[in-house]
Amino acid sequence: MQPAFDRIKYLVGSRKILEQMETVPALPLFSDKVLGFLDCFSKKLMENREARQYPDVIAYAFWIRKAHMEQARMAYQAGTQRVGRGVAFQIAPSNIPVQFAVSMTYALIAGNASIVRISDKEFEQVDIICQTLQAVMLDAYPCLAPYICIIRYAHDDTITQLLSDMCGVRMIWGGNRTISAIRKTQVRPRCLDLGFADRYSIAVVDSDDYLKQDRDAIARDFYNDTYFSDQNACSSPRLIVWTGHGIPKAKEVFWGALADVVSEKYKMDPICASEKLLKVAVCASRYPGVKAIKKDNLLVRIELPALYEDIMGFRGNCGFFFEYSADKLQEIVPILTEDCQTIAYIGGIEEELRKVIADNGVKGVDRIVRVGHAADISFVWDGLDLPNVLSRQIGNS
Amino acid sequence: MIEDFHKLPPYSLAKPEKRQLLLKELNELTEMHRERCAGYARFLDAIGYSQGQAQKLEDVPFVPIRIFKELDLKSIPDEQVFKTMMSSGTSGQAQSKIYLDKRTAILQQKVLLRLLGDYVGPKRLPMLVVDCPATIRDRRLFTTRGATIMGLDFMAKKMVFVLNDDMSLNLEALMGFLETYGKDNFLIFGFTFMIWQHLFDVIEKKNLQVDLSNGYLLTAGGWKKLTNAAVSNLDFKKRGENVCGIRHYVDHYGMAEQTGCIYAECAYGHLHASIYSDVIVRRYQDFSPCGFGEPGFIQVLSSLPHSYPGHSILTEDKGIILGEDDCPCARKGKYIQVLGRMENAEIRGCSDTYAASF
Repeated sequence: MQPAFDRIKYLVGSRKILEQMETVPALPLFSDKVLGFLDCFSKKLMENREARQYPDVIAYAFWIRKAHMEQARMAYQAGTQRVGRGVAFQIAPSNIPVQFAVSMTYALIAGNASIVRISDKEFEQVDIICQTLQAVMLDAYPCLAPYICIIRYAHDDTITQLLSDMCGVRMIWGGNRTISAIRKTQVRPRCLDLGFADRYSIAVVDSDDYLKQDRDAIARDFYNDTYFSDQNACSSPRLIVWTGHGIPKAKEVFWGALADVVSEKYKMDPICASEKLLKVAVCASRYPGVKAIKKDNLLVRIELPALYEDIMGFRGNCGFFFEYSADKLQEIVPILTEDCQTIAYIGGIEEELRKVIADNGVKGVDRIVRVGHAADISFVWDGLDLPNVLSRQIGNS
Repeated sequence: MIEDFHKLPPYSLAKPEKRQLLLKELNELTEMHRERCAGYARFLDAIGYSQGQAQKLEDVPFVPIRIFKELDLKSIPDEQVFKTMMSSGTSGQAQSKIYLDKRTAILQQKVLLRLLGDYVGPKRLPMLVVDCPATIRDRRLFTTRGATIMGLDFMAKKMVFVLNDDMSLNLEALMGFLETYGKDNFLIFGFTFMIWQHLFDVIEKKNLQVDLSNGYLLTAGGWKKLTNAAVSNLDFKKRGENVCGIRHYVDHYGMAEQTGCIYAECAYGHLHASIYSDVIVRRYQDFSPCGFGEPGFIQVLSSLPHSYPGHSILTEDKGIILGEDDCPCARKGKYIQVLGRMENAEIRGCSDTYAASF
């Protein structure tokens, strides 16, 4: 009995489940039990009228549906070769509401029991997912109840230490400060301690290809990659690099189309307007020669005369973009540091991008995706193939 | 020149004359700061503001108030820094740094005196300070509270602190002050929540007989803490009268970033801009100016800052312009109401102290 557990609030699961979690058996990779449960959970979310108001919840529900998971089971050739590592203790991020559920799903399909600590920040998506999850477990899948606890607790090293003592894998979803704070508590010698740190992402646009495409569709895609999460996701591009011959025209069309989508869809907190003005001022003092371009405060662009090596350390959000016109794609190499996560691209430049990365020994860039897919949920994240990383392979001769 | 303003009564200019005079002054300040402060010049370049562009007050470029927390902006050589004002911030939070040369510091004092004089009379009066002496002890590092009090030093014939350093009431000091000065007009100064908690509460609880009916109570915001305790401006005045007989109240809006140019409250509850300054309220969507009665970000313009580029600042306070030149108190110029901080202001944790005080 741990008195510190009295300070935990259970959104899914209970104190009893938490205390016994270390004793539940590990499951095989993509087990029938978990896939059946996820499919049921997916259906319940899809049926939920409240959930349907949230595209991120629906995207998650779609991701865990049976057809998709079965396909993945085949692709991973999950047989009896891999089983879970035990308990996966996860510290979910506060900036992306559904990420806690995605993290839990990674842990479950890899065969682990799942403790997820979510932040105090209130999101309706979190309530909807947790209520549905609880209901699914009570009604249809009591056999999985011992495997899931979703909890909240105030910053409390004692609790974090107790939970860390239980786990075979710990997943800390950023930022960097959270990671170093949590890492003050120890894990067991064999525990896998994964930190999903602060990353940044960029977009690269071939202006000539862009001008041949559907401007409105691309604007909606780019909106989903950026504004949808207030540009707070690591995968949201914050710098747009323009290439090709049609740059001036492409810029005009691109930002114009985006502004239309933004003014129709985006609700900005008033304070973001002054936050952006502050960012302009600070950025201007640090990098002489930058130009701020805006029609209103919803969309603020900073034109860079050069690709400063440390520019990506400068974080703006809620519609704050750097842009740079490159003569050659090669110019982006200095900013592809290990903190660079995603390159979202427009046009037929994927191969060229991959070549630039391979040829220059670039340490960053874990994903190259088309614009519109930066926020996609994927089994591979931050360069880690999570179903495999979170499970053990039973080797043979 | 700013000296021309000193020859005029501080609330005497109607819209056309005031705009002309102030615009000229502010355009000069913009160009002077552009020349002398590299960080400011780069900001103007980034937003594409070209020389002498402002044709009206609304076109004068503005800096965001938190820029003074992020950057060291000054338009004077280091050896001319006479004092540095710091906004009080809670631990771990950046503080505003405002660099003053002698000229700007003197200007601030002079204007503050002139503006308050319009409310309490031109004579220097003795002042009761509802704060502890520790606030001003370390003069090298001014906090907003300390700086505010020191700014008033000028206008006080004598200053008596009535709180001990542990915030308990120094009854001896209070009674001594009243015995000597209580028969004639005097000033009382403090932050509203401190007066509420450390003066009114204590007098009532201990059932003390204290007569402050000849006092003019100057306050400098701090309403947020009282509003959180569900105390309104009116509740405050009522209680002040009931507990110790205070009848005259002069609250004001101002900030460390524009010391001197305060917006003081008249008998009709309106906060007034003087000839030295002006207010524009702006929409958050695109920073276009709001009409009268329409809430938005408060932008403050001041002709005083010569040592740092703070003559046009966009605050994160929400307010409305109630009218211009037509307040029944007869003061000319715009008069405003402050509605509080923009929600979520200072995302990295906020402090009550800096925008609500000067």
